[in-house]
Amino acid sequence: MVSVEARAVSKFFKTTKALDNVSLVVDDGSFFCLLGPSGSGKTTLMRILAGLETPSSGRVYFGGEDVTDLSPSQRNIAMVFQFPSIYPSLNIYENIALALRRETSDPNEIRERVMQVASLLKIEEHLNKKSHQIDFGILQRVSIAKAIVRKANVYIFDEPLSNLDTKLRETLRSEFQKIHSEVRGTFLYVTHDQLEAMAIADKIGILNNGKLLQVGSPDEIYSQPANRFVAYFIGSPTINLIESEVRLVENTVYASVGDGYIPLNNKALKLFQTSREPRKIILGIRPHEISLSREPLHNALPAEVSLIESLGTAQVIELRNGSTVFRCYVDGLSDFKEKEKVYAVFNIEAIYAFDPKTDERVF
Amino acid sequence: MGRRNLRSPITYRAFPIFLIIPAVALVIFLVIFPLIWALGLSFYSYNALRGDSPVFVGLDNYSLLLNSGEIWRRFITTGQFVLYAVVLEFLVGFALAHLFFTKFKGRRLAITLVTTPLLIAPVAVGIFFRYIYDATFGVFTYFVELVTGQRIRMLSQQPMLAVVFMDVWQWSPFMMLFILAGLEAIPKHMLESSEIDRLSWINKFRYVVWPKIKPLVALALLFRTMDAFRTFDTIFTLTGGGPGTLTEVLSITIYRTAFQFFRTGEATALAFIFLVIIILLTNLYLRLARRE
Repeated sequence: MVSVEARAVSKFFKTTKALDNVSLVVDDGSFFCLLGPSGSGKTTLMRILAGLETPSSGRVYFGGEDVTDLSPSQRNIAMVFQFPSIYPSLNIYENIALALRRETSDPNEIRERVMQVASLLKIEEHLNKKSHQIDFGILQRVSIAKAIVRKANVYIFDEPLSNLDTKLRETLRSEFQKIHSEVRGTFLYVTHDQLEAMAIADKIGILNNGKLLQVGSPDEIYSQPANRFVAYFIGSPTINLIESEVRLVENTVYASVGDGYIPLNNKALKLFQTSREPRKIILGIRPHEISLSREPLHNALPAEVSLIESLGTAQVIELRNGSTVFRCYVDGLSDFKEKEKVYAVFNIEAIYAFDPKTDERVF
Repeated sequence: MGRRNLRSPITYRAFPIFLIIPAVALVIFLVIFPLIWALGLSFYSYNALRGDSPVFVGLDNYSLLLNSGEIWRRFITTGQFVLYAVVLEFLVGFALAHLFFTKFKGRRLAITLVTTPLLIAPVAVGIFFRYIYDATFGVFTYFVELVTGQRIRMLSQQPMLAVVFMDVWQWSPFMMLFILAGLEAIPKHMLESSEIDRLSWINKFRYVVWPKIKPLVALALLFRTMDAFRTFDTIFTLTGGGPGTLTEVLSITIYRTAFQFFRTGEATALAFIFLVIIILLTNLYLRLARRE
């Protein structure tokens, strides 16, 4: 296993820019997730790191060594694709063993290693079957087994769970960290599913429109989003992004929400202390950080319940103040009704502000 | 108006039948009826030229044919032609398909050019090749002389190879199209996966490529075998079956028996033997294909 580095990688397909000057380091032995919506360039970046695609400019390094001009097999990577890549004429055991042929010819070692990954992925009972005899979910397990049985420099996973149904996806997702700790390799995992990335990765790199927006641990990315897109893309239910105006009144900074105002914390005060004029910002607050009350609490924002969405053990309540709509997440089942007048209390320590022009986070 | 008519159950049922009647009638009058008529005729001694009334001879035509060494030699000639032509077409088509599977500039144009022989009328192909093989000014002769230093008279020295090459020239693109379709159907990730799994090219072919192209290869071989078996026009125009009977395949024998010697009954019997062989071959192939 090695570290993987992309230095100033750009990629053009004809005239469209798929990757724009991306630099990235994946630490040796870490579990790195490339996350982004479709068309963000994450797959292109992964394919360039794998050697399946050549960058238009920039270099790729494995453990400090320039591998830009090497083929995937010369880079010694193992990979799991979106669809199972099982050779239909061989049985499952032979499929996994075939991947080992270049590493060892000792039948005992092959047998031992195949059995080891088979038990890790719980596919022992299928080893003698052929691919058409087992279902898609298990085939994808076999594909993973086929990849991790090898001693590869890097293990790459290209949305391996995206074609599985929800149940299978959840089970396999929960096993991924165990797989990583057993294999102890550098894992590069591509997904568009933020829950998946948050659940399994040590570090996440978020891409959008060919640009790498932020790299960080799941916690950092969640609590310290670098810009509006990252804040929007991570977290469920989605963060509230409210167009707002801040102004300084008697040494407190207030932000408008619809027709009302909420106070901001000291960080905001430091930033806006000197500005006399009201300033436009995008206010970001996660639905979990808003609580509701029927009493007119201090600094609470009056609002009307416009929609209640039940999640079983929790509710997402949509609120309206003037023309502004925002959502709040309530644990358990509340007895709020639609059209009811309530008061929303914003956790002022959990409020972000984004610059409406650059989308960068102001605080 | 139509809506009302269609709703009435009789029209609803009769309409489709009404639609297929012309096609069915055509098939019955032009294919099935002549076939049965010919089957009947094969049990008679009959000469279409003289127009005498047919004389029933039972299985005499068949036993005469099957006991004649002549006919067996024609079978062998036909078999050789089919074997050489189909195998060579497979090899050439296979190579061409792999060539065109790699993306290069002008690929589409090149495919179009390579497949044009398929569009040329067989009679024209036969006549072209008469000139191509011509001993004094033929293109083929010229190039063979350039390479080997020998002036070869293909049509008299290697007549079988001459007809085989002609068939290969015309039909290899057909093989190529089938195999190329198979290659294009291989999922991209399987090819990439075999590269990442570091398979040798032979294993890559065995485990990734062959399983995908196998059914198409079987189908192409089936089509080509059946078609090569009944080749008539190209060979007839190129060599007329000659020199002597060296390239006289069965279809030419049937033609000659029927329209040069006017032994009509015998010719129909031979045609039926021919038909049975083709049906057997087809079944054999289909069974092989189904077993996969």
